[in-house]
Amino acid sequence: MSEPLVAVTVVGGYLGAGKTTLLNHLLALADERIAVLVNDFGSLDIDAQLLDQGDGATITLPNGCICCSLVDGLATALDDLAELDPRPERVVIEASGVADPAGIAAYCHRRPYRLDLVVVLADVEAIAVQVVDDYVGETVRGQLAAADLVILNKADLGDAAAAAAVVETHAPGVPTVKAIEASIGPRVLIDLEPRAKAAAHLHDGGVPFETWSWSGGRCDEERVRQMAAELPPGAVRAKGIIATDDEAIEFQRVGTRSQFTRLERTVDQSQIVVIGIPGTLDDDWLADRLG
Amino acid sequence: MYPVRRLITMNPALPSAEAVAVRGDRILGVGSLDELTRWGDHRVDDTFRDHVLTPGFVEAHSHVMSGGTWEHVYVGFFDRRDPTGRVWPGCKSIDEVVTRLREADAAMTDPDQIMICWGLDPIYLTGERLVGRHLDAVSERRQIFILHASGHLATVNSAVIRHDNITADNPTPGIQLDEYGQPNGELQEPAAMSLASGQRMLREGYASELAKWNYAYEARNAGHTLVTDLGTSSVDEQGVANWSAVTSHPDYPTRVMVAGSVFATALPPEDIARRVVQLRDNPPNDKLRFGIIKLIIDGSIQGFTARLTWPYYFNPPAGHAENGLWLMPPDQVPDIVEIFHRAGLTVHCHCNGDQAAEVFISAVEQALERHPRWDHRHTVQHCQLTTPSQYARMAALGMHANIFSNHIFYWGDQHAAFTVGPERAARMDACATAERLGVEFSFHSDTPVTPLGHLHVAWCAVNRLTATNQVLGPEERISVDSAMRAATIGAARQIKLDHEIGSIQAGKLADFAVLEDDPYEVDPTALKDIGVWGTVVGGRHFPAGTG
Ligand SMILES: [Zn+2]
Ligand SMILES: [Zn+2]
Repeated sequence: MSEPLVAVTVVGGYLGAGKTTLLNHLLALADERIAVLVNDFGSLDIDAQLLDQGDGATITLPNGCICCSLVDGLATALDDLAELDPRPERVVIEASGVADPAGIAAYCHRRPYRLDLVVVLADVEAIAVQVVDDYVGETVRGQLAAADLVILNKADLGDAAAAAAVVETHAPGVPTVKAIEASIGPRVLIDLEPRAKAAAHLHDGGVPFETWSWSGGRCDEERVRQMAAELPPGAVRAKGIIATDDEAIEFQRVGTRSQFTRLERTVDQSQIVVIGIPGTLDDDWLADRLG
Repeated sequence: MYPVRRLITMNPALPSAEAVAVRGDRILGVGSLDELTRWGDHRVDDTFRDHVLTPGFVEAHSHVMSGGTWEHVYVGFFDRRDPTGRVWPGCKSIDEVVTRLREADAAMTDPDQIMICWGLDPIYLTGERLVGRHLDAVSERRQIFILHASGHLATVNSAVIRHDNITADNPTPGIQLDEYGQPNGELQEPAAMSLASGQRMLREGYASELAKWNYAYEARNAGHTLVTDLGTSSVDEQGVANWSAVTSHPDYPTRVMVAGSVFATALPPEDIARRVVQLRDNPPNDKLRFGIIKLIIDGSIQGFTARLTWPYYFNPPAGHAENGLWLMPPDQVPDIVEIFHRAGLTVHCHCNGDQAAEVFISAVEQALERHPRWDHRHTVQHCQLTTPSQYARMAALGMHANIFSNHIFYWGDQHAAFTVGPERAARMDACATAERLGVEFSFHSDTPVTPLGHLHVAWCAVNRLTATNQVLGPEERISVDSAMRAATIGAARQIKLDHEIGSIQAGKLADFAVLEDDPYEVDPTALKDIGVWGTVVGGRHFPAGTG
C-alpha cells in the first residue's frame, strides 16, 4: 500500500469572519502533524506554540498571483510541503479574505493530497451587508457557494437564523453551523473519527451535533452512492466502509462531495456513519436505504 | 565625445544638439562640437555619427520572466526575435509546430530531459486542434509541455500524462478528455496545468540567472537602459543577492529597478518596507536600484477579471461572473498603502479597472490625510479605465499614471467588441486625458504580457491603431513629443530616478538609446519600425543582437 494521503482543509471567508481563530482552534484540537499555508497579508497571528507541539510547519504564501497568473505559488508550496520528512498529515490553507476557496481547492487534488474540507466562515453580524456590497458582494457570494460547510461565526452577536437564510439564498444546500469564536467540534472539523488531543474537549463546540450510523453485511456501492445523493444539507460529513463481494471500498463524504476509494483488502461488515445537525436524519433513514 | 546626426535630450532648456561628451559613466556636456572641445583633452568617437540619440528608454512596468521564456522552444504564430537577435519564424500550422518540435527534439542530447515550449496560440491555427496525440508523433519517450500564449492553457504529450499520473478521475477542474474518456493532453487553467512537472520548471526558470541576462538583452535590443522588475522577484536577502550578482557584471547591459512586493516576498509588509528603504539608500551597485513598492488589487480586462464600476462588462462569455476579482481585500488596501506611504516609499498599484483605481486613489487620499507627505509619486499602474474625474483627483493628490498603451493594439478590437464596449474602449489608456488634467504619466509593455519596446508603446499612444487597423478613441492620441517624454523622463520621474536618468544633460548618467532614425521626423505611423542600433549604458556601448 502506498503512503496515506495528506488531508487538506481550506479555510475561507471575508476579512474579520474568524479564519485565524478557526485555524488556531483546529491546531489546538487535532493531534496530527499539521502544516499551515497562509495566503494573506498581515494575518500572521497563528499560535506558533500550537504548531510546534505538533511538529508542524507554517509557510506564508506570497499571495501567489502575478498580473497574468504566470506564477502559481500554491502549487509550489504544496509540492514543497510534500517533500518534508516527516510529511505532514494535514495541510490547512488559510485563504486571503478575497480568495475564491474553489480556486484554492482546485490545487488540492495533486499527489499526495486529498481535499478534505472547504470551510467558509460568515460573520453573522456582517454577512447580510457583505453579500450585496458593490465592491465585495460577488466575492463573498462566491466564497459561500464554494463551501462544503459554512460556519455562522459570532453567533452570539447577531441573528444567526437570518444569517443562515442569507447563506441558503446564495449557497443553496450548503450546510451551516452556528459557532462562537469559530469553535466547532473535531468530528465535523477534522474527521468523524478524529485524532484529537487528550486535552481537547470532544464536545461539539457551540452546537451539538448528532450522529447516525448503520452497519450490516455486504452492501453494494451503488446503494451507498444513491444514499449519499439523498443526504439532506444538514448532514455535514459521512464516512464508512462498504464490504462488497470481492473488495472493500472506503467512502468519504464532506458537504456535497463524495469519494470512493478501493482498498486492497476485503472486509465482512459494512458500516456507515453520518454526522450533522440534530434532527436532520432519524435512526431508520440509513437502514431504509442501505439495509 | 560623440558627434551624432541629432541628439534629442528631453531637457526643455536645450531640446536638441549635435554632440554629447561623456566622461566615465556620466554626461560631461551637451552642445556643438565646438562648445564641447573647450572641456579640454578629448577623443572623438564617430560610432554614432549617422544615428539619432535619445535618453535611454525607461520601462517602469515590466517583469523579468520575459527573459525566462527564451530558455524554451518558441512555437507562437508571429515571428519573434530572441535576445540574441535571431528571428524565430511563426509556426503557421500544426505541421509547422510539429516540425519545430522535431528539430528541438533532435537538438537535445538527453532523451529524458523535458521539452518545454511556449507561445502557442490555437486561435490562429486553422483545422483540427493540437492535442497530445500530435506531440506523441514527436516523441513517445520525452515529456513535451507546451504553454499557450494566454498562459492559461497547456498541451502535453502522453509521456507527461504517464509521468505525472494525470488520470481521467482526478477531480481537478480543467483536465480535458478525448472521445474515449481519457486525458487528451490539454490542461486548462493553472491548477490543472500545475499537475505537470513542466509547469513547475517554467516557474523556476523565471527566476533563473539566464532569465535575468536574457531580459537585459531584450532591453538592449529595444533601446531600454532601465527596466523594472515590478513585483516578480523577492526582495529578501537571497532575491537581492541574485539580482546583485548579475547586475554587477560589467557586461550586464541594462539598469534594473526591482520593486518590493507583498506578492513576491514572504515577509510582513513592515519588514519589506524597511528593507526597500535600506536598499534604496544603499543600492548594491549602480545598475540595481530600489525604492518602489508594487501592489496588485484586481485582475485583467481581457480576462474579465478586472474590477469595473457599473455597468461592468459589455459582452462577457456565457456563465461568467458579473464583475472581476480582487487580489487584495479592498478594505485592506488603505492599511497596506499606509505602511509603505509612511515609510517614504512610492507605491505602484496595478489597477486595470476603474473600481480598482477608485480603491487605490481613495487609499492614497486617506494616507495623505493622516500622514501628509510631499512628492510621494504614488502611481496607478495600467490605469486602463481610469475616468476623467479619477485623473483629476490623481492630479490633485500628486499621483502619477503608468498607462498600458500597448493594449490598444493587442486587445483594442476585443475591448470594443466584448469586454467594455465601444464607448469605454475609446477612452481606455487615456494618455491625452492624463496630460490635459495635469497627471504626470508614462506608458508600458508589461512584458512578458506584450513584447518589451517603447517605440511600439509610443506608436500605440500616438496612433491608437488596433490589430485590425482601426483608430480606437482618436481624442486620446498624444503627440510624438509627449510620447517621447513618457518613454524617458516621464518614466524616470515615477520611479524617482529623474535626477540621474531620463534626459541627456550634464551630470546625468550616460544612458542613451541609439536609433537609426529620428522619431520626430518619420511618419508617426512608422514610429514602431525605427531601427535600434542598441544602447549606451553608463558610457558603455551595447550593440543590439549580440551576446
Ligand atoms: Zn499588472
Ligand atoms: Zn505587470
